[in-house]
Amino acid sequence: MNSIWVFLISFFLMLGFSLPSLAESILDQTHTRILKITGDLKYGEHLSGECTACHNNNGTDTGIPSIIGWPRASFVYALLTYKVGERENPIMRMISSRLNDEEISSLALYYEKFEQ
Amino acid sequence: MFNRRKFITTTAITSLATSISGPFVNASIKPKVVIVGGGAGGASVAKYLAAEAKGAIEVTLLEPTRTYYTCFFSNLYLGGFRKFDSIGHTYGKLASEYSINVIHDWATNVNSAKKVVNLAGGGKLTYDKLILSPGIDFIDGSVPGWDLSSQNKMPHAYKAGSQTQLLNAQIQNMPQGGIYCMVAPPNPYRCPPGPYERVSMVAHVLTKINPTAKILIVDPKSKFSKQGLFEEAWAKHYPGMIDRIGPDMGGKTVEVRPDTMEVVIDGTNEKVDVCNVIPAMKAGQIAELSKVTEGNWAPVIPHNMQSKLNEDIYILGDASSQGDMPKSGFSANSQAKVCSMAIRAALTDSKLYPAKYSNTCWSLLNTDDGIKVGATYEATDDKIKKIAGFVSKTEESEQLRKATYQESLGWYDSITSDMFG
Repeated sequence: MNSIWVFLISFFLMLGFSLPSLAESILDQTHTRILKITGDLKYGEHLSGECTACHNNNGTDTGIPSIIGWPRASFVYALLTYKVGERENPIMRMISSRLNDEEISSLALYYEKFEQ
Repeated sequence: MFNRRKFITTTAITSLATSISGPFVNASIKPKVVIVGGGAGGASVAKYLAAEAKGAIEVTLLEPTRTYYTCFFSNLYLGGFRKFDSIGHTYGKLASEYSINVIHDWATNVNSAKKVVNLAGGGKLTYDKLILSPGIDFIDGSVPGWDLSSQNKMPHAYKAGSQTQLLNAQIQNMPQGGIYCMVAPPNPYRCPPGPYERVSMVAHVLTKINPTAKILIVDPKSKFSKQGLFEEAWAKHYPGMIDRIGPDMGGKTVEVRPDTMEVVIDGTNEKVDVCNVIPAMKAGQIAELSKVTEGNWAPVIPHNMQSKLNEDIYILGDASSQGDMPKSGFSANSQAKVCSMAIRAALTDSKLYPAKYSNTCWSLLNTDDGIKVGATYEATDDKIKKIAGFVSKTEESEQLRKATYQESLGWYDSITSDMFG
């Protein structure tokens, strides 16, 4: 979680907001913001190289889920839940933490369009 | 449209009409990339170059073996968790689906002035860019008394294949109450947790078939990867079985006598039944012959894996000296993708993005007891630099450890299909 979010959360907590609802609200706002970005398919293809080491492009999901063909909205939401620390897997938290809005959007676009 | 395989089948036709921009303007002559070594780095970069250049680059992969056995997961074979065949991979898909020219031969030397690779079979390959991904070789004399002529008596099993099968047979045939000794390597070496995962797997097997046997690790290092996690597991799963002699107890001063199966530790003789000698390592010999090494390894530019000593040669994986990334199959695969992008940008007009690297290493401690360590990296002018990381924790729940092991199974299937098609 970046420092701006930590600051924002601390700030809103002081005002009496509860943490879960605040995190949810930030997540939803970020989700909406990213979905408004068109995304760059070529950039998404390039970035996907980091995903394919673990997520099989043939659709199998033994131990690690398949991510091909996911709707953009679900893909973006899943990455964000790791990025804000709501979901546990340390690899996904680490990978998502260095993806910016444009990168998430481009990856989501690439995987939505992926044809096996 | 975005399926790489479909693209390959059509590019053979379309590329005839495609001119190549950049330094290679003659459409009839495609730039040539030769890759030496078909392991994690070499197979990955061959596949990515061929798929992403879409026919604009002629890709040749040189690998002596017809079937490549991965070092990663070879310990799971020793532990009885994998069949040997399941860690073997062939090159048929790279040839048939990606149009890569796969040549099974050895590179004997490289004439970098003429940009020619000479082959043991007598052939020659010319290149515009050469990628060396030769893995590791052992440093002569690093364990006194051991050399390649003694590897049948005291196997290293650190290049997977017949050596792994040999070590397995020796473990299976150890006398009851016998001693398995591992001479562990000094830093830096391939797969930092590898020796200690191996000890866990050997202990797992011995607990079942030879419960009074002992494991002795002679280690020149004062500490090792995931040490707290391994030691917790050894105390929990294999109490009293494993002893480790570190440098403070003489682990640095070791010699072996293969004919009598003796290990001499700081002047004291120890008779053992299996002796797994993992010597000190250096870049695969062809890197040195290509004059791209400094000391034991081949230094590279962190942004693209290009040799610091020859701009037409790139080095991937274990053989390279790049900074903070561990020598692992995952690292080599990650580096291969950056290298592929850089070479395409150099030879065609494709786009160059900033280099990003990552690594994760899973280790198995016992049935359904998996752990992992990982990190992300970025290229600085100085080195490939770690930016964030994680490691499993001690006292994790059984459920989490089982999920981590299951994840490693998924990773193996994915990364090997990412490498070999």
